[in-house]
Amino acid sequence: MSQVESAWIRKNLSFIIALISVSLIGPLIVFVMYDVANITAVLPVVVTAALTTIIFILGFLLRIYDHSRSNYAIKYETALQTEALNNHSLVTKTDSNSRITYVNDKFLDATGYTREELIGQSSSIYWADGADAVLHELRATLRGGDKWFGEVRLKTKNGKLIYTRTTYVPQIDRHGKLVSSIAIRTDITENKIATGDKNTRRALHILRDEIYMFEAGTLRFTYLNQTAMERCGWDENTYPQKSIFERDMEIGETNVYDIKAFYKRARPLINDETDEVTHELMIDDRPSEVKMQLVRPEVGKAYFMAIVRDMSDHHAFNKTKDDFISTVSHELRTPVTSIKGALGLVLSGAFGELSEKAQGMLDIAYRNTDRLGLIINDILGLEKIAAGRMEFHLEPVDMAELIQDAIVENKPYSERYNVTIVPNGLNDGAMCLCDKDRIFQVMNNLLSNAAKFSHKGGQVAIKLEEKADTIYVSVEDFGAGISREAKHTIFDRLTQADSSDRRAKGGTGLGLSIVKTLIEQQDGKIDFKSKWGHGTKFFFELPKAHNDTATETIETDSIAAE
Amino acid sequence: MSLKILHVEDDLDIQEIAKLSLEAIGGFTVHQCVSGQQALDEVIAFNPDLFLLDVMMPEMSGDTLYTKLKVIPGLENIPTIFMTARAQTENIVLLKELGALDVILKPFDAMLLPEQIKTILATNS
Repeated sequence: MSQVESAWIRKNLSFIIALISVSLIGPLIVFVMYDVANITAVLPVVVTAALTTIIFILGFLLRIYDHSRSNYAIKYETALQTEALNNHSLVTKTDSNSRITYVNDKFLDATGYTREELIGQSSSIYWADGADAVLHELRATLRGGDKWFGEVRLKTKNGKLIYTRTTYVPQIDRHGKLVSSIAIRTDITENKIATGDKNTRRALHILRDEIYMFEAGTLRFTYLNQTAMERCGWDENTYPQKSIFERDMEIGETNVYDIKAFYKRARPLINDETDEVTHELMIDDRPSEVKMQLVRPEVGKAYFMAIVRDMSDHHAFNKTKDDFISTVSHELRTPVTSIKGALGLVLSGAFGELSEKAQGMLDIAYRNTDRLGLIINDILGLEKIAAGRMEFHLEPVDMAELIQDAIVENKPYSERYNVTIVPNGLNDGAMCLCDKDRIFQVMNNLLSNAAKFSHKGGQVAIKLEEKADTIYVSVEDFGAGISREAKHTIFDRLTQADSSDRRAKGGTGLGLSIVKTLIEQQDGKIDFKSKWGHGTKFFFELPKAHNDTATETIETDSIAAE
Repeated sequence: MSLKILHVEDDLDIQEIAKLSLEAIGGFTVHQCVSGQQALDEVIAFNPDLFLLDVMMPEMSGDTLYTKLKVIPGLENIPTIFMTARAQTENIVLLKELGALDVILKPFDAMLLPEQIKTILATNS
């Protein structure tokens, strides 16, 4: 019997007793009266009793009918409310130990769990990480018998986040102890994302860069931010009628929009080969960098988003920087020339014999002038590479010849460190496609490093090998080797295996960083193997030059962001 | 008779070192000027066999001086070597395109400078 029905019976108890009493006592009175008097004498009493009984029975039936009707209405309304709740909300029930005892279907749909996976588990299974403070507050509130409202982040089975607005209602027993709690949640994830989108749009709108969005099919503009509208002289009402043909982003030499050039640039995006393409264009006679993406939303048409940045200031700044570096390099080299020249002449004995001590001191000064010159060269070289302005003149180069030249160039180093260079496989005809001067610089660096880090009287082995598509060169010393800790950073700027090496052996620590960049910018690879106490082998591979290889010039990509 | 070199260099220290190197070690005859204008004024009187020109000089740069020297009758075929601290490849290429025999980079080795000049002249003769 339901709680509602038993309460109804209690409420109507006196009425029921009266009804039963009349029904039982009425016939009893008739029966007694029948013995005492004749039937006609008691007939009015009998009729009255019978009528009263009938009225009571009718009244009772009426009340039963009335009760059933209202009971049905309540049940029906409750069922409706429950259905509405289940359709709208994610509902869970947990016991006093936060174990899950009930979950509705919508909760299962939203979280991806099955009922079996949740029932009996701690509710922490679906709480998002970092919710400890909220959980603590929630439990304290529920234990105090109060309801709790707030925003709760849930974690789905596959780790996705769901934002919910949640109401917790506690169920408390007679002793005021928490028995269970029901949580009713509204999923507000989409609202959150929409608010986020709105904020992003607002930020885009006031961005200094120009932003253009246009449909991939028609190339008609769907959105221009404030800066873009100002630059075009359009507003919200005019730009939807325009397409990129009316924005002189891609005006070719014939003063007509170059649609082919546009699709050539956009092809990698259309073919899904990359997420973004970047190119420089002259727009309104100003150098501009255009970054373009193709957005394919789940709902709606695909569109291009182009971010246009005016590079005039950037170019002007680079020009100033170039001039500055050039001037500084000149200003630094001029005194170095005087110092080196003067020391060289004195050391040569042109002004008479020097004492051994004076000779030693001047040797140190001379060596350090050399070093200063190298530092200036390294800094300039790195600066150029970093700014992406180093040009590579690729041509077929005889690698054996280049290595021979580098060995001759490095003679002073080998002599100073008393090292013998042992070449291997230097056969003519190993033709490599590279920039001769840059690879000469690479060889110079590797050879001088190998000499510097060899033991006195040691050897430096050079190997040249022709592979299927590449030319392989290795330079190996048998010195101290590179420690395991230093191996990870050996190609980083300002790194030497041991920072004290920089002073002891000379050099800036920029050399290997430059070498790596020079090789990689020419489609080559460089790496090394080193065994502590046994020496180091640097090896690189460059593309082989084929008979039909033409000479070409490439510019480095900008790696200024490094 | 030794080779006569007209050396134009605005830095007096470098001038002195180069003079010592070219005369004492190389055995050349050297006449030095501190500016392009001085060189233009004195070139005819000296009648050099070779121009050795610094590039970055105030008032008149080495390459401007070169073009001015080249239009003086009788000097059209005098070989020229530039000296520069601007070691970037493009600068060297530009100077060679202008007509220089070669470019010697600063800082140069004073002991090897005469040898370097002789090698350049021999290669281009």
